[in-house]
Amino acid sequence: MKTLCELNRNDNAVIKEVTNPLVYDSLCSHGFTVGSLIKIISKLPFKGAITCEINNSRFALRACDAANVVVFD
Amino acid sequence: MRTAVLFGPPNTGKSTLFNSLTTKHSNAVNYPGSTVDIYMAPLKLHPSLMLIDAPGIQSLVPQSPEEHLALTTITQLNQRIDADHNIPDLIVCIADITQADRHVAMAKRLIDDGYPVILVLTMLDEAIKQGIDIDTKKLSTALGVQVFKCNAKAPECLKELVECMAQSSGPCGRIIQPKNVHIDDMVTAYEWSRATIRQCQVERQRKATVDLDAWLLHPVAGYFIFLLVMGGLFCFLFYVSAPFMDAIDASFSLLGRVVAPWLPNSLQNFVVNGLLSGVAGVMVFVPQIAMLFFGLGIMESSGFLARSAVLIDHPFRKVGLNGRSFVPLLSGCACAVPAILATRVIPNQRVRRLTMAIIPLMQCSARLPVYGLLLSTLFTSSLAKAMALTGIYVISIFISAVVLAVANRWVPSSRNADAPFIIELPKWRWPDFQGLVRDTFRKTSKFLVGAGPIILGISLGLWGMAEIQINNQPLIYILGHFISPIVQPMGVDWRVGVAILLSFAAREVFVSALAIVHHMSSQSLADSVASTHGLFTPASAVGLVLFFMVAMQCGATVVVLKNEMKSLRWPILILVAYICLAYALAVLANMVL
Repeated sequence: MKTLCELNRNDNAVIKEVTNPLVYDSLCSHGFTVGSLIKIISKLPFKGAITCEINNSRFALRACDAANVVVFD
Repeated sequence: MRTAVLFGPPNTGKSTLFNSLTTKHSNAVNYPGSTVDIYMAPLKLHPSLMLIDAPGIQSLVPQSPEEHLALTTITQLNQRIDADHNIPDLIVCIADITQADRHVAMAKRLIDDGYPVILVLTMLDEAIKQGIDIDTKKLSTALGVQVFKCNAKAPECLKELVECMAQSSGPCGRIIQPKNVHIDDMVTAYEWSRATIRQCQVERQRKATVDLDAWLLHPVAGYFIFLLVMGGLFCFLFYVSAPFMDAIDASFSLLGRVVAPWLPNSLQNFVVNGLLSGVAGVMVFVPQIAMLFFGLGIMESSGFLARSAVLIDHPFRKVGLNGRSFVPLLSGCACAVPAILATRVIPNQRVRRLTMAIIPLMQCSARLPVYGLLLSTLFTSSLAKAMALTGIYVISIFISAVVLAVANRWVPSSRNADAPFIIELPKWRWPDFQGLVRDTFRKTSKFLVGAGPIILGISLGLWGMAEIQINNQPLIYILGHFISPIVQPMGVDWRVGVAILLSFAAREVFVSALAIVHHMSSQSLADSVASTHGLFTPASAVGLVLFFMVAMQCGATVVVLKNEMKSLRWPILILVAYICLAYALAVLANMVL
């Protein structure tokens, strides 16, 4: 198991859980729900934003927020 | 009057549909969160039904101020408008057909709660590209409400939708007290929606497309392209608008020569050298302002702005902002007022306050006439002026960073400081150039309509002050000499002081006020001032540029800041702090240079 920020560009994974309750509502609102397939589109340098595709939508989130998303790769 | 609300996730085409169904214009662009307020207008084809365009909302659990506002349009409508019920007569749920498995969940949740809903699937062109289609009959049966596929630009689609809206909307007696939705209710709705859409989806052939995000969000190429585009925007601003500016300038000179012989002597000086030259001083910059609106429009409608916000998030975080601050700050280069309203998309209150605080430091379009005049006294070649103007934007970014470093210590932490930075990237689109030209014309006209009466009013006021005599001295002279000791350390005399004072109404008034005070055209003002009248020295001109870069002169900005910050303390503090800083910089420049 990895977190979202540990995945590389073009990696696919399935969301297992969102660990931080403080960001849970916001991530769920954007469709980051358990069982969703996720693909990494780009990763910006120096722990910059991670862009991912989920349910045909693209989102960018900070590496620190992505670290709260645990995935099966 | 019966009411229908357009409700749904951001960037699904609600505002485009609103503009097509009504005669009113709501801002429709290609990035999430462009609508931050509610707009309403009766339907064109059915005027007894009032249509409301609400800001986009990701789920029924709101995360930011504009999402709270959207939710109140379906739960406490009569707090927002003069409506008969708390609940609208109809909710028109908008869903992007390419993201239906997430967007339909909101409609499902509302239907389960007893709201009167119809579902409209949009973004059909994008669905064709991606080979996605949905069987609306199947989806309608699964949801138990009517489902439409709608292209906002196709009249037959709109007619059918309006007929359905007119028939479906009736007083909703089913809900007495809307219940609060928990995020887990939304997760259940997502699961239902995902399974249902899978059954209703019809696979079609997918068109081959280039993934621009692979380049635009590339760790190296992304930043390079970003800088190239921003640099290109400013070059476009200066070089494309130059011939139009020359043409306007020549037209006003000709108008002055034609009109002068027809006027009585008492009015000739005021009309030709004061009013006309003052208006020309602002009008001459209209092409540049229009190009700015057009350039920003291309960035908005293509989807580039959202990508820029992602790229800029990391450097912004170092100064206490986040990527969501980028769009309001860039909008601030056009006008501070809508830019401050655009900060509603920032969920973190602290970041929002900091963003609002530095928006007045962004160089809005109203400052262009002032810089145009002052830079004319410093440089002769247009390349040097263009470089200097670019320098002004760069220096203002540096000043903003310094102000943020100081403000970070002062602005208290907010309750939702841990709100994550997550931004939805809209699909790439070709800008609709016809719509862009229309929008540019509308925004430029709004600028002129707003500035026109102020310039005219102040011109008449100044003329009156020059005519009224107290103790054989014109009133303007008395006022000017009262201001003189304050502006003298900046290296300017009472005439410039009067123009600065009047520019607190609107920045562009500085040029027209100065022209009237001196009874000469703004162009000749620029040419002759440095050499003969000694109105500006190079040092005082640099000082004035710095003053206008920092000072928050616009009254409307203060009012909007007060409304958005819900306090008078912060806007007053910002106003006083910026004026003091601007004054100190101007005095320093005059002393050092």
